[in-house]
Parts: sequence; C-alpha cells; structure tokens
Amino acid sequence: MILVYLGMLETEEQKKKFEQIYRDHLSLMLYTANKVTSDKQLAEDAVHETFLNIIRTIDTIRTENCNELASLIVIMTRNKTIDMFKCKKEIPVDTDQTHIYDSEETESAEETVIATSEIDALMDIVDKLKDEYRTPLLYRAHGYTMAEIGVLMGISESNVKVRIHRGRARAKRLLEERRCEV
Amino acid sequence: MSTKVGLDEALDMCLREKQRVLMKGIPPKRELDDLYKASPELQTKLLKAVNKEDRRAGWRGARSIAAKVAVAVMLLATLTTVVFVPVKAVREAVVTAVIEWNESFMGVLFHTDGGAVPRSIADVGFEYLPEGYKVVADYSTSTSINIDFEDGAGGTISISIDLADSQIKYSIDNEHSSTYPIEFSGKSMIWTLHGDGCSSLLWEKDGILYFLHTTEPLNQAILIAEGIKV
Repeated sequence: MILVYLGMLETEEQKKKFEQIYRDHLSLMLYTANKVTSDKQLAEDAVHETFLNIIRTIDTIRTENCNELASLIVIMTRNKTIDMFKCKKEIPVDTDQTHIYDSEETESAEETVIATSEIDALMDIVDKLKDEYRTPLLYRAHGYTMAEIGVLMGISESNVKVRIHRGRARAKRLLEERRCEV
Repeated sequence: MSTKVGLDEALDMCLREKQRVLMKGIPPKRELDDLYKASPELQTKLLKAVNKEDRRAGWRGARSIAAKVAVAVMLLATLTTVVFVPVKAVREAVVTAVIEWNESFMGVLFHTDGGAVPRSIADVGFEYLPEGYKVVADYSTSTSINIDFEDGAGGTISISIDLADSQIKYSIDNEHSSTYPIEFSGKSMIWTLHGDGCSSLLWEKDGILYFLHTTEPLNQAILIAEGIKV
C-alpha cells in the first residue's frame, strides 16, 4: 500500500518523509480515528483521507521532532475524522455552545492578562472551543506559521488569521464569564 | 502568590498541555501496531481512491491544456478583431479612396515625337493678355516653362509649356468640373470649366504641350491661348 502512496510523491525527500510518517504513525492514526468514531469503516476512510492530505501538505509538515510530529498527525487525523463523521451522520460533534458571541468578538485578546490560578479555567475553556478555532490555535502553539496552517487546513491564510483571532477572543470572553461567576 | 501571563501565551500553553495529556493517554506504539492494522478493504479502497486521484490529476492536466488552448484562441481572435480587421478596413478604405480619387481625375496622356521647348521665358511671347495682368512668378527647366500672371484684383492666369520627350500625363479634376473637347484655329483643345468658375485649356502644338488655367472666362482664355507665341 505504501508503494501506491509513494507513487504520488515527487522527490526522494518527500518519499522519505512520507515513509517515516506511514511506518511510525499508521496505527496511531487508526487509533485516533477509532476514538472519534466507533465506526471502523469510517475510521479507515478517515485515515486514508488524512494520508492524502499529508501527501498534499508534505512539504509543510515538520518531521524533526517525533513527539511534535505525532501530535500533528493526531490533530490532522482527528479533524479529518470529525469532518467525515459530520458529513456521514449529519450530527454536529461540536459541543461548544458559545458561538452566540461570533458577531461580537472583534476585540483583541492580546491585552488580557490572566493569573496562573486561572489556568485550570482556561484548560476547560480550551475544551469548549470549536474545532475550527481550536485547530489553528493548536497548530500555532506548535509553531506553524499562518501560511503553513492554511496549507495544512486547506484554507486561506487570511481565513486562518480570522479563526485564530476569533478563537482567542472567544477564550477571553469565556474567561471573563468565569470571573463574573466567581 | 500568583504570576500573571498574557492570554495568548496562556492559551498556547493550555493547548499544548491538553495535547500533551491527550498524547500521554495514547497506548504505546507496539500495542497500537498490534491492535490497529490496515485492513485489506482499506488497501483496496486506497488503491481505488489513488486511481481516482490520478484520474483527477489527469483531468486537471487536460483542463489546463484546454484552458491554455482556449486562451490562445481568444488571444488570436482578439488580435484579429482588434488589429488585423481594422488594418484591413483601413487598407480597404485607403484603396477605395485612391480609386475614388483616381476616378475623380481624368488623365490626359500626351505622346509626342519631340519638339522645341523655348529656352527661356524671354522666348515666349504673349500677343494678348487681358488688361491689368502682369507677370508675378516664372520658373523654367530644360523641358518646361511656367508663368503666372495676376491683375491685382483677384484675376490669375497660369501657363505651363512642356516638352514631352516621350509621353506626359495631365490629370484634370473630373469631380468638381466639366470637361469638353473644343477646337480653335484648327487645333483640338480640352476645355475644363471648374466649379469655382475658372477655366483650363490643354492643347498640343508642334510637339509642345500647353496648359492654361485662368479665372477669366472661356473666350478670354481662348484669346490668351491663341496669343501665345513660341
């Protein structure tokens, strides 16, 4: 099977990179996809689609750090599986109930300062963020540039900027709500 | 005591921490390799999908070529429409104008076996000139003499005397004038009555060609012509 994938790659460097991902992370991808959906068929489809996505973005993916790479592969597989799951089941996976703030979140989040005691609250808030906001923030936290995130997610760079901005603004809003509750 | 950090840094930290916890919860690779293997179905689907991808790539290539051909055709059409067609139209218009122009003039072709054009203006005599006319300009070459007269009241007489070694062609405006063959003193002559009232006379005598253009009426023009002595 790997030969089929390798046929789609052009340079030796790309092939070597892909071979590394395939051999080291195939089971991890299947595991991640199965965790999202209990449907084995769908999980395999998602893994396959993720591999095709990896081929398309092979030059953007960094393979120097094994842990970072594994983390990236998990993110990519998870997102692809969720996307496919949404399409097949037509059930929104997102548990985030805060999208009501979309139109209001134009304020910059950069000036907000939080105490380390609030980190736990922020950890919960991260869970509540929509995937479309959490994913680019996660890539950003892994050191990928806006342009690279755009390639990985298949969206424009400006769209990435918008999503990151909205994600941060939403996190800030939720944090302020927590503060009010306290 | 608590330390304060910016939201962006805290958010990055939380995201990374969440991811770290998630990764930590994943079973070891050896265990995963045992539990999760690509099924034959997945391999089959993969092969189909890759072939589909190849076909898509093929279609993309074909579409790209088709697009390039379409652009080339469009460019050619545009070039033809914008450049060549106007150029052709202009060329046709010019040709038409030349034809029309040619049709507006009557060519009078003379052929003589030779003659003796006067050597200078002094050799040309004018037995009759209407009152008040004086020479205002003259010039000559080895084969022609041209003399212009004016009466100071708007009247003009221009006379050209040419020697045609082989043949010479005069063009007479045929669009805004009328041309008639006439005779005087036994000689054939072409009289042209112009739209502005001027008259031209063109005739040949002893191998010499005469052309007279004047604001005077025809009878005066004929008298002037008859009075030219070489």
